[in-house]
Amino acid sequence: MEHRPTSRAGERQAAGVNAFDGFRESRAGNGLDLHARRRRIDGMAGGGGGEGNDDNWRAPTRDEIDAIRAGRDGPGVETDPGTSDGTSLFSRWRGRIAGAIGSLRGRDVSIRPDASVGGTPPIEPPPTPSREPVSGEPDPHDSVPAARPAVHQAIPTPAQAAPDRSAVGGGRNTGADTDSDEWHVPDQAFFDAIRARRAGTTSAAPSPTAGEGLTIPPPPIPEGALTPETGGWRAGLKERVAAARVRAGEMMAGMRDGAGAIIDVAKGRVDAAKEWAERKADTPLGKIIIKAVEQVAKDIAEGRRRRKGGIAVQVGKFLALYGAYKAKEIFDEKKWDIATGVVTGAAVRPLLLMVGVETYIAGAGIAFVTGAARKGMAELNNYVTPETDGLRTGLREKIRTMDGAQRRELARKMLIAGAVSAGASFVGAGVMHSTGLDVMMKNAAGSGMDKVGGLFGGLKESLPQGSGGIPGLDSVEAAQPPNSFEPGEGISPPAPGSGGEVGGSASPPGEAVSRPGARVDSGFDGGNSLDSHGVIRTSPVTTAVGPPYGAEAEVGVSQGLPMTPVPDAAPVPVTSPVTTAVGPPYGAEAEVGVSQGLPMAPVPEVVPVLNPIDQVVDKLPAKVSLPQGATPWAIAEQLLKESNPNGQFTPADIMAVDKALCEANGVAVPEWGIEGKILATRLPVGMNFEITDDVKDVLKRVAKK
Amino acid sequence: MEQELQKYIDGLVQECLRAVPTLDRTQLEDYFNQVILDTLIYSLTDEQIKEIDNIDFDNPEQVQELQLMAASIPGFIFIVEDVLKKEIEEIKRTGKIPEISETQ
Repeated sequence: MEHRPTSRAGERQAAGVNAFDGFRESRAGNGLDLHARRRRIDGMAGGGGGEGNDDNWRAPTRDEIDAIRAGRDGPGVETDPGTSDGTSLFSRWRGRIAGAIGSLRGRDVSIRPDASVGGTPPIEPPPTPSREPVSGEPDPHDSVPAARPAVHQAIPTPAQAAPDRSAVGGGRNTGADTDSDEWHVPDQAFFDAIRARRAGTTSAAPSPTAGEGLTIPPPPIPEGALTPETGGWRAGLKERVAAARVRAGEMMAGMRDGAGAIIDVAKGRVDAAKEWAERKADTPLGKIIIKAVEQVAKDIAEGRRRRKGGIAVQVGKFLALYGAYKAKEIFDEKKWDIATGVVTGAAVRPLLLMVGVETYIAGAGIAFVTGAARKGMAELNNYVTPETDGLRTGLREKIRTMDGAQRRELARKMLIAGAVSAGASFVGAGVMHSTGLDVMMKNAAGSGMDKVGGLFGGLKESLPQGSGGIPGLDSVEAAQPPNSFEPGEGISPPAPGSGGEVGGSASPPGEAVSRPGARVDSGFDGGNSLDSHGVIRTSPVTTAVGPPYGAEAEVGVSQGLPMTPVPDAAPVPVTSPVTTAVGPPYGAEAEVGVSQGLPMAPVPEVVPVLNPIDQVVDKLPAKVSLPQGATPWAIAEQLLKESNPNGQFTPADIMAVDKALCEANGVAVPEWGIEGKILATRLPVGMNFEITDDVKDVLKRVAKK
Repeated sequence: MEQELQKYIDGLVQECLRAVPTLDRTQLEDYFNQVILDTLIYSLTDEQIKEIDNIDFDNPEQVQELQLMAASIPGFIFIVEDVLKKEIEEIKRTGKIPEISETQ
């Protein structure tokens, strides 16, 4: 990518100025550096908060802290009602109440407006209705910060609020939660507002009589929350993203564990699978596995399980090793370029579909991604360092200068890239479908398991079949209702590599791979097939009952067998689902794989491929009028030419389309044995020929010659 | 997929509007777009960030490269979802859209 020092970030960098610093300085200069302000307040309030890397910040002295706690701190300790991070609940609420009262009185407020120091007018403290403050009583907030709710409860009604200096007790007001030496009674409006907030009617407007800037304290802020008030919500995005990365890693690692359990089930290692499932019994996948275990145990008991091997097994071994190898490579070299590898793997997939081994690529994909997920995602945070904060800020600024439409477009493109990557990783390779993880996804979306049920699930739910959306997610919706696992259905073949490791190093010790049986297995023919159009059909339903398991030997990945370095294939750029040319091989006539004779699930276009010819054919008009002197033959020929202008079509090709056209439109052609309502030789000029889906299917097939 | 993504974003907007009807739909959507892109920026490695420091967002090739980087982030889609969820919680809690101008 071209590097031009034209951006603001670039200029700053060239000038040796950290963009972040500059930005921060500018904010500090205009008083907007809420971050720094917050830290100062935190420190002064003794909360100990703040990141501690602000030049303007200094640690509070012991005396300051003591002064604050004793209610005798020096001047200039400002109140910030929004202080949250690292600030004790006490100090935060104390500030808010004091601020509110001060606003009510129409003047600036210090936490403790000590007239002797700050020169602020005295404020009368309201007496505590429920308990009589005792001079020298320990400040409950020193030891019981959770006493925050009592702040408001201690505020009396105006009727109760008779000034009582005697209750102050040596300058301390233990009942009203402010450390003011002197108090004035707030008016009715203030208390009404407080009560309204306590009652949850936060929209209650303060009485006009309150006037003078009455400030209603905001609702309690969770400890550590970053809010706009503190200038921290946006500032905390970096941290939230980092945390989200770790959670995503955990989730993906969990999926790998689940995949391992699925393998166990598929391989008949019911004990291992059951052990996992019982630990996860409260999750959709756990429930599925439990049912699957029961089914498999039944199948075994009835002798319905059989084995099958062959070239698919060998190719599968290769791919599983490849995926695991790439996972290790990524992990070891910290390349993190996972998508490239996944897509590389997917690139060879069309070839392998013909032998029904997408399951193995699935294994490769999932081992690939999840192998390094748990540790890797956390470790990835080490590669997002403060060193580049300035550059990141510059980029964010640049994005902010875009107009909304451009920003929207960019955001969509990035989401698509992420979705395609996730699809390639988890779904595109077929693992979701072939191993039952798609059921998990579906159930997750339905059950609200938020780890995978949101964007991913939402996309899945609304994707049209074969739409080019997240691959594979739209495959079994019609076949299986959510949370169902009916007898006779089941979990399809193993996804080797799902739980496997190369050299046992792709994930930290003690993770799923240490579970007995979580190995890279070989030996499944996939149970997949290509339909007459060459579209892959993968059916977890068909493979559930007695899936043909593979070779006896298991690939000893987890046993430390030497790895086979696999030369990198040319990576396929992930630019959009449309351009990811890793789809099924169209035109394949023969069905491959083994169907068990049970109904197949709807056709998943695992990785979207939009053949140009298909696109043209799909865009053909729904109807074509018969020109004067023309025949269906002529229409068929024209349709073929439009579908593929470069095609060289024989009469047989044209006839195939012509037949389909006539059949679809009730045109009788006796010599071809086609019956219809009207003879082909007696067609009226202008007759509309409908280009049905059947006609289009024939067109697509023939036009690709 | 574009439509599906739009549906997803619309869903987020709706969720916020249900809780805080006074919010502006356009601003909400733009905020979410901003968050998505910010999340990307904070998810790229230092190396990647340096590589795109001078990115021209009007240049399709460079945007495509950024897409590839987004695709290379493990679980990026999950990360985005996680972050957006937090944003929604915050919007619902505070009743307002966080200030986009607060970058740090």
